[in-house]
Order: sequence, then structure tokens, then C-alpha cells
Amino acid sequence: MPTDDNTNGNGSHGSFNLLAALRGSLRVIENPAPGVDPDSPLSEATADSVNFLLSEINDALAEGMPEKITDEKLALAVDIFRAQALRWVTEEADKANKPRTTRRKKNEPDLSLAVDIEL
Amino acid sequence: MNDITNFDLPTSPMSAKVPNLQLAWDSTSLGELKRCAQRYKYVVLDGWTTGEPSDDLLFGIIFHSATELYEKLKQQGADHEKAVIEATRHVILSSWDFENNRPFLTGEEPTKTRETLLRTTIWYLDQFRNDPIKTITLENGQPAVEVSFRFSLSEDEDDTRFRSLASGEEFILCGHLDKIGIWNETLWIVDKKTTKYQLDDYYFQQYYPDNQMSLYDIAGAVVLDQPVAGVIVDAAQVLVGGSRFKRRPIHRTEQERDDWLADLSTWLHMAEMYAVTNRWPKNEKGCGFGKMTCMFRGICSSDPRIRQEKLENEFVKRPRWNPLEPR
Repeated sequence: MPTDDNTNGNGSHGSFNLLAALRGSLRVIENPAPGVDPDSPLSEATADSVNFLLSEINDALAEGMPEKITDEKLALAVDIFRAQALRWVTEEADKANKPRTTRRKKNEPDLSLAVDIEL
Repeated sequence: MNDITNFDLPTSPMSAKVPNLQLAWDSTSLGELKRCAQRYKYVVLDGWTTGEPSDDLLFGIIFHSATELYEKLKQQGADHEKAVIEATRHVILSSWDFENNRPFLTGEEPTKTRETLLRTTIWYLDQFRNDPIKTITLENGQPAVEVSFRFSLSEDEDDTRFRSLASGEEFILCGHLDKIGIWNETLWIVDKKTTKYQLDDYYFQQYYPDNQMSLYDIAGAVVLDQPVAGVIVDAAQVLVGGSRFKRRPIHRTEQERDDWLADLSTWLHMAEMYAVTNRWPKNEKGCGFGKMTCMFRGICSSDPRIRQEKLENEFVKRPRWNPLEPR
């Protein structure tokens, strides 16, 4: 299994394993490493994963090898975006539940209805 | 292609007898005509464009096709996970410019990037995994997604409301519906929208009145063999950090439908007058300002003697817009 070290790999490793690396990133998402504020926009960790994945996908496409984008890689991409969704929903709920202490400014978005799905 | 009408029609949307008279109208061409006759002439009849499609447009097209693919795969028996993965693959491949080896989406619009497109597609499909709006199945066995329609509004040859006054040819309405589904035991047309704006009452107010929604509402009432309750706007708000979804039904009463059709008749005859006189008046009130500025403002504000040259230098000409073209 990869260590968290190579989750931040720069791709220069000869046999860099994308799936393992990204799984490492996902693990970070679920269990932030010491020193990582679990309340900070985890989007940072997720953004790293997304950027890395997209960069790998772009490389495959630029090489004219779309077959490198396997079902496994795509499933991983889906997982990463789902992790992002969990975070987003939590943040939205927190914002919606936070009591307002000041009057909303004219152009400030009203988040009170943000997660309301009518149908 | 899903076509729910059996209407014998030439492949050209134009009159065979009156030059520059469009007979087959979709919401895009009708919308351009209503905005400004000169702009309609440039965009629809002459095919002038800035070249590359905008990120906004590409984003919408790929989001639509990915969700449509998902529906088709589900209907063929694929499970949710497999269908999501294939939709994701579709987004990745469709958003890549294989000729120039780069993504189509340029990133100029920060909310409409490849990443936000992937995220919005995956979140949307998960959100509506058990969609309360059940897509109906067409007679050809296909799910009713991306459904083409066309119909004549003219009751008979003596009905001049929807016929060319010069040639007697029929005007028809046509277009493509994103989806037809059943919700609460009634039939609805579903139209997907992506936007960066908040999905509040203010956002949905833009559809009262609205050319496209009225046209789709009438199309549903005419071409389907069951009553249609209206159009559901299935909206996705795409932000840099997340996406939100909200749906809202848009209603039109019978009186509102009749009112829209009466206006339509006038608009179509105005289009005929423009064509017959070959004069396409500029609506200066439609030029817009800031981000909403019409792309032809520089042309229309220049000396008429150099407009054609400026058009040729600054724009690219594509084939004439054909709303009858199958997707």
C-alpha cells in the first residue's frame, strides 16, 4: 500500500500508481492528517485529487490513448466528487442553521433555501 | 433520434418561394427575431458567429448529453453506478478537443470548467437517482429524452394566421425537448438549465413570460396524445465550490397559450414583411450593455458601407441555422 507521502507525488516516480495515490488522497479526505484542520475547506485536499486526476486524464487524451481512462479510474473520479458532495452538503447545512446576526446585504446570496429540492 | 411527430416536411426550414422567409421556427430562431430583426438576420439567416462556442453553451450541451446517456443506459438495464461511470466518461471525452489536444472548456468562465461539469453531472445523477419524474417510454421503445417535434399550427388552407401571406406556405414550430416525464400522475416536459445564479423565486420569474417555455408548453399540448401539465425547469446552479439543484413547474393557462399564439402569428408575419422587403430593422433597445452586449454592436454602430467587410473580418460564417436538423 502506498504511504501518504506519495499521495502528493509529482508524477516523477517511475511507476507512479495513480489509483493508489488517489486512494491515499481520499483517505486524507476522510481522516485528515495531524496538523490538517478538519474544518478547513477540505476542498483543498479534494481539489488536489481532482487536479491530479484530471491531469492524468488529459495526459492520456493528449497521448491519443483514451483507453487508458479505465472504468476503475472513472469510478475513482466519481468517488472523489462524491466526497466533495458530502463536504458541500455539510457546509450548506451549517450555513443554513447558523443564526444570522446581521441583516443580509442587498446582493448577498440567501442560503436559507440552498438545499431545498422541491421535486 | 426520437421524433414524436409524423409530419411530412422538406429538410429546409426556408420557403421555396419567398427568399429569406423562414417557415420552420424553433425557440432559438424565434427568440433572435423577437430580440432584434437585424441580429436575427446575422445569426440565423446569414450564420455569422464569433467562432468557438462559448463555455456556457458547451457546458450546457455536454451536461444535457451526459444525463441523456444516463437515462438511456438505465433504460437498457444498466445499474446506477455503471450508468454514472459511462456518463462521466462521456463528459471527459466530449469536453476534449482531440484536434488541438486540449480541453474545449477554456476556463474563462470560472464556474463552467471541466471540473465543475464533471462534478455537476455526478452530483445531479446521484441526487436524482430515484427521480420522482419518471421518464416515459416512446412508441419506438426509447426513453423520451432529447425528443424532436414539429407541427403545423394552421388549421386549414384558409387559416392565414400561420401561413405566409405571399405564398400560402405553412409556418411550423419545431424543436427538441430534453425529456418528457410523469410526475404526480401528470405528464410534464422537463427542460434542464445550468446557471451561476441563485435558484430562488427571482430566478424562476424569468420564465413568466418566456418564449421557449411557452413554445414547449404548446408543443406538448399539440404533439402528445395526453394533456400536458406544463414544463418543469430542472435547474442546476453551478458555483466554483459546489452545485445546487432545484426544479419548479412552469404553468400556462389556455388563455395564456392563446395569447402567445396570437402574438406568434404577428411575429411570423413581421418576419415575412422583413423578408419580402429585405429590410431587417435594428432594435437598438436590444443591444444590451456590459456582459449582455450584443456581439454585433460594433457592426451596427459602424458606417453601413463598411459593415460587410467588418463582418467578414471579425466573424466566422457557418451554414445557415437549421432547426429541423436531427440531433
